[in-house]
Order: sequence, then structure tokens, then C-alpha cells
Amino acid sequence: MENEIMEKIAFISGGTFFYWSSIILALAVATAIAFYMAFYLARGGSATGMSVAIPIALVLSVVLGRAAHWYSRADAYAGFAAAMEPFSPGGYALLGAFGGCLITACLLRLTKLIRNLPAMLDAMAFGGGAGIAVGRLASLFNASDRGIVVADTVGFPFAYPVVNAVSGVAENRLATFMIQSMLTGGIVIALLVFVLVSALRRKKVRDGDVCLLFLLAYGACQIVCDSTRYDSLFLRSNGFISIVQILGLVALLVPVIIFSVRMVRNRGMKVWFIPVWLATAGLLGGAAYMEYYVQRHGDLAGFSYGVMSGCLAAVVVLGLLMRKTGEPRKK
Amino acid sequence: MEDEILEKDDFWKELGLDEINFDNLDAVLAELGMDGESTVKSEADVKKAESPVKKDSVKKKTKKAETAAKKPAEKKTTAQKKQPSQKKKKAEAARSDIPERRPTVIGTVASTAVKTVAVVICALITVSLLCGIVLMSAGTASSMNGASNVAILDKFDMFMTNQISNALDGVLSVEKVYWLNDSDMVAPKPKADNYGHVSTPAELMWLLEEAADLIGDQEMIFNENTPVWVEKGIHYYYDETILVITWKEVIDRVVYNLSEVRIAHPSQFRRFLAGGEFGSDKQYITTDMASSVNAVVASSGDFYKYRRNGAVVYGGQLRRFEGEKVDTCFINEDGDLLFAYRGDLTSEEQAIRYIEENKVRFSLAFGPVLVDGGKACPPASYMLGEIHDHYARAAICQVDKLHYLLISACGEDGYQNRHTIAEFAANVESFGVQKAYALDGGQTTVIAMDGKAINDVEFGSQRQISDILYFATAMPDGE
Repeated sequence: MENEIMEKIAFISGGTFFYWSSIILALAVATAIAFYMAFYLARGGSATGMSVAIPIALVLSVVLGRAAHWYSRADAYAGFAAAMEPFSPGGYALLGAFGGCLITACLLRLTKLIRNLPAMLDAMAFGGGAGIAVGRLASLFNASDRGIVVADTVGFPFAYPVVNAVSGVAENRLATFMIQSMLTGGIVIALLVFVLVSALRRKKVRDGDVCLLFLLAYGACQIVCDSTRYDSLFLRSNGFISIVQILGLVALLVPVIIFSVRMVRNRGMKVWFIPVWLATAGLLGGAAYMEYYVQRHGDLAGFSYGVMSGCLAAVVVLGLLMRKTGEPRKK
Repeated sequence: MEDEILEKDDFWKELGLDEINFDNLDAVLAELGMDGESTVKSEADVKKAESPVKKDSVKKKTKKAETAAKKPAEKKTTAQKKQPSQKKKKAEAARSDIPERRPTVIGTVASTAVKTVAVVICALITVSLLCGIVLMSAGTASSMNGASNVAILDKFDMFMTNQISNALDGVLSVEKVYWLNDSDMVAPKPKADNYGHVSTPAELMWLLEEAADLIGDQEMIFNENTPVWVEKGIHYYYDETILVITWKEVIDRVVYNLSEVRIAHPSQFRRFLAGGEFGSDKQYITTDMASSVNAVVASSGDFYKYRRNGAVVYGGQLRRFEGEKVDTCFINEDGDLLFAYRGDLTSEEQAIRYIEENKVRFSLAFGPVLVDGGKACPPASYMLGEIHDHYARAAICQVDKLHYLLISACGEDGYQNRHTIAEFAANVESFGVQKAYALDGGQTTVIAMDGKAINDVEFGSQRQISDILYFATAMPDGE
């Protein structure tokens, strides 16, 4: 019912309504595949492995996305089996796509259809980022952009009217999905520039680094963006801890840890590493405190999210510094 | 003695070094005078070479040559270690007895064919999945369902009844009746002119007289002797179907926000879940939800999405049952509060039977029961609500038939005490209610009226929650 009121119809065929949002979603998937293929083939990947990965990743992404949505919104489904029925009504969690791609890459590596797992993850990071940047634009055609209500003075693209499904009244809401689209697009462009500049300088980018850098930046963005939503997916045991924020933190920590290990391995243990790590931990703690603060003081959202974003941006910068420091020295 | 002429190759053979590749050994040996070139040797040189001493020195020189030859080799080995293993593999292959397999034409064609087929199949699967993604979200033209038909007929019934009353006005007295359908997401909009504000109870006695038909023979909690916090005033709303009076009292340095409600029909006592459906992810602040459904007065609910406790009934159906650990408050079709204490309902089947027998419309799952039968009965222990700590508290109470009291107890201005559940229950009992059930407290606690929060919210900002309970007017728009 909500979809029929809120969704903008692209065309009607027979008795079936085709919505703009679903067309853009399909376009986003196609964009993701194109970016993935281009990057993977440019790095000399196996065409067979690349081709086999696509349908497996798609299926796994849909299945895991629905499973994650069922976990958080079990009350909206008759049961797990009902939730997993093909084409059954319900939502999907984007985090399922990340899980699907990771599992696919690991499966292909285990079956030796591909030889270089990090290279495939790099290509998937590019494809995923491009797909998210396009896919979130679907929010322009429905009421899915569910950010907090903001003052009418804030306009497009940062906020726009979203019709309340119950009252039918338009509310000026923060365009969380648009912001996510812009940020993710920016990350993909930055990575592209990084890879191209490295290629021009004949400097080989280590396999897996593109994926790690994407996770570092995207994880930081998602921690903030998800906090602004009013329909976050929460843990069943605690209605205040968002699953996306937890995974965003993990995505932020994994590259930091890997880069730290490289630092120590290539440079030996240095005294100044410790304050860097402490600063990283402190900044993450600051961001976590601001999340608690904004839940208590929703009227100070601007201040809270500003500080949170600053802390996480600093963590990203420190992560990049760690990566740079961890590069092998030239002889 | 003839001079011995040593050929270069023979020289290496003599030393047993003919199979080792020394690029720069020639130069080294040349310096040592042992370069293997054709040399005319003097007799003395020959004798020297033959003598043991000379032999030793030759041996030493040979050793030196070997050492000098080995050093570059060692260096090469070290350098070679840094190079990729391709050279190793090639060397191994060269030494290997198995000849290298060269790809055959058939093998190449077969491999290419398999890869091509795999790619094509994967591409077809991908395209079909993309089409499936589009179809997944596609909608179909909805047809009227049975529930919608009943709702429309119900409204028609009410319309006709009231039209007959209008037509027979002055001839025959036919009481107008207004009610709401549970399937209606939004209630009729309250009239802005019907809201009001006064400072003292005495200024509001006219309203109680005007609402005498609605109040009937029931006794109101609010009266001219109510110890109202005068500075904050009294808010009210009145039409033929609903009377709401909201005021504040200070008890033990805790501010009690009270909203007494008298409704004409049970359907005006309603529950709203954020997003309009059970299980929705959406969360809103209480005032936003109250405004969206046109509530005259609303209270934050049990925040059912936050925790999985109790028996949750919505739309007359059991949606979730975890009823053994908390008290559940059911609201039936007569608008009465019915309590099921923790442990009373031990299975889903039992809960469903209870709901059907008592014609339950919706439920609240927080608790505990504060007052039952006019007597305070807070438990000694309870799993929710930190009952022994001092927190802001909220409760829904039933005074009489279709007569309710919403209460929140929190801090405001200079009064910053909070109560435990036992203290709260004792004060609730003192208002003379028959039944009272605790709702989610703390920052969740909000009573909203006319789009505004009546009480001071903890931390100064409303929390986004999943549900409210509210009272609405049944007077249709335009009447």
C-alpha cells in the first residue's frame, strides 16, 4: 500500500506497475557490474572467474540482504521461510551485498577459479561503490529517503519533502540517501584518481589496497549516515545499536589494523606509532560518544554529527598515514 | 725441455672447472697469470710447476681462482634469490626429464569453447537476475479487499444514522453516534477552536457543565479543588465526542502531568505504530506521531520495537508473544483495560484464546500493573523499567467506563525529583483510578497535546520511538 502511494510509476504493462526506483536499482546493479568488470580485466583478471562471480554474487547479495532485513524486522514477516520466498514482499539490507560479494570472492578462490583474491576484492569494491552511488538515487522517486526532519531552509540536494505515509503531509527530511550517493561517488572517484596516478607514476598499487581504502572511507561515511536515518536496522537484543554502524566500525578497523601491521613489519616498532594508535582509538571513542549524545539530544543533531564526522574523517586520515608509513622502503 | 703450451679448454679441464660458468674469471686469472692462453713457459716455470712447493702454490692459486670464481657466483646466487622464481622454474624444467607440454590446437579450442560457454551462461543468468530485480519491486493494481468493504459500509451506516437524526430533528430524538474504524489510519482532525487554555480550575467549571452529557453520572478527577500548578495553567479540548483536560501537580517535588479523558465511543481510544504497520523500522518522536494521526491527546507507548516482551496485539491479532516475564495490558472493544500478569498466559494458543474471548483490539507490553481494583499493587521485582531507581514515569489509567487518565511524572523547572515505581504507584492510586498500567519511562515519557509536548522531556529532547497510544475525536471533518 505504501509503495502504491509513494512510488513514482515509470510505466504500466498490463496490470503491472513498473516503478522508477526499481529501474534505477537495476541500472545501479548494471553499473556495479560494468565497473567491476572493467577494473578486474584491466588488472589482468581471469574472464571466466569474473563472469562466474557475477551471478553468484547477485544471488547471494539478494538472499543475504533479505536475511539481514528479516533478522532486524522479524515482526514484519510471518517467519524466516516466508521472508526467504522468492519475490515475497519485504525489504532488503544493503549490507547483504557486501556479504554476498565477499563470500563469492572467497568461494572462487577456494575453487581456484581465480588466483588473486585481493585483486577481485579491489574490483568488487569499485563496482560496489559505483553501484551504491547510482542506486541511492532511486530515493528521488519514492519516500525511502528517511532522514531526520530538518528546517525548511535546508533544500535539495541535502533535504527535500518526503510524503508521510500516514498523514499524507510532506515533511522536509534530510536526504540521507542522496548524501550517501554523493559521498560514495566521491570515494569511487578518489580511488579512480589514486589508481590512475599510481599507474602514471609506474607505482604498483598492492592488491587489496583499493578494497581496504574503500572500506576505510565508506565505513566512516556509513557510521554517520546511518545515524541520521529513522529506520535503521537494529540488533534484536538492543533497539539502540544499529547493525550498519557496527559493520561500519568493523570496516573502519580492518584496514587500520592491516596498515598498522604493515607499519610494524616494514619499519619496526617505532615510539610514535603508539600516539597514532591512541589517537585513532580516542577519535573512535569520540564518535561513539557523539552517537550517544545525539540520541539523547536530538535537537543538537547538527553539532553532534559535525563532531562525529570530524572524528571519523581524522580516523580516515590516520589510516592513510599508516598505509603510507607501511609501504616498503625503496633501496 | 720444450715449452708446454696449454690450450685454454685443456686448462679448465685440468682444473676440473670446465663446466662452471665464470664470466669474469678470465679477467681474474689473467691478472694472476693463469688465464689459460697459449704461453711459452720456461724450464724453470715448468720445474716450479712440477715441484711440490710449486704444486702447492699452484693449488693455492687454483683455490684462489676457485674462490674468486665462487664469489661472483655466490653474489649471483644472492641476487638470483631476489628475482622471481621464474628462472628457478625454468632451470627446474630444463633439468627435468619430462619434456614441456605444448598446447595443442584441440586443447586450445576446447578451453576457449568452455570459457565462452561459461561466460555466455553467466551473462544470461545475470540479465535474467537484473530483470528479476525490476520485477521484484513491481506492483499490481490492488483490488478492494473484504476489510475495506466492511469499513466503507460501517462509515455509511454511521452516516445514514446521523442523517436520519438530522432529518427527524424536532420530531423524534435520535441520538447521533460517532465512531471510528480500527482500520482507519488517521482520525478526524480536531478543531483548532476547540482547544483552550486557562489558569485556574475555577475558570474551567463552565466546561464541565457544558460536557455534562458526555460525562454523564461519572465523577471527574479534575474539579475546582484540584491542586493545579497555576503557573503552568490548564489545557483542554472539547467536542461532543471527547473531553480532555490536562494540568500539572507537584507531588514530593516531582511534577505530575495529568490528562483526564472522557470519550463517547471506545473506538476513540487508539494505538498507533510508527509507519502504520506492525514491525515497521520507522521511529518518530511522540509529537510527530500524534500530529500525523490527528490525536487530541497522546502518550508515548511501550516502545515495542526496542524489546521483545509481553503479548503484542494489534488490529485484533496477536503479533508477538513473549508473555511470561512481563505484565500485559489488553484493551478490549469496550475500551476497558484488562490485565494479564506475568505467567498468566504461558503459550501462544492460550493468548489467542484470551484475545478472542475478550475481543481484544490492541495491547501494551511494558508494565508493571500499578493499580488494580483501585488498590496499588507494584511488584517487588520486575524485569523492565528499573523499578527501584528514580526515573521519569508514565502510566495509562482507567477511572471508569470510557474514562481515562494519562499520567507522566518527571522533573520540570526547579522540581527535579523522580520516583520509583512503588512511589509512583502510591501517588497514582491517590487520584482514585481503578486501574493503572506503567508505560515506558525515562526519556521516552511524553504526553502530547495540540502538537506540543505537555511535560518537560528528559535531556530536553524527545526520543524517537515506535508507537503511541492516543485519544481522538470521532466528530467527522466538516461537522
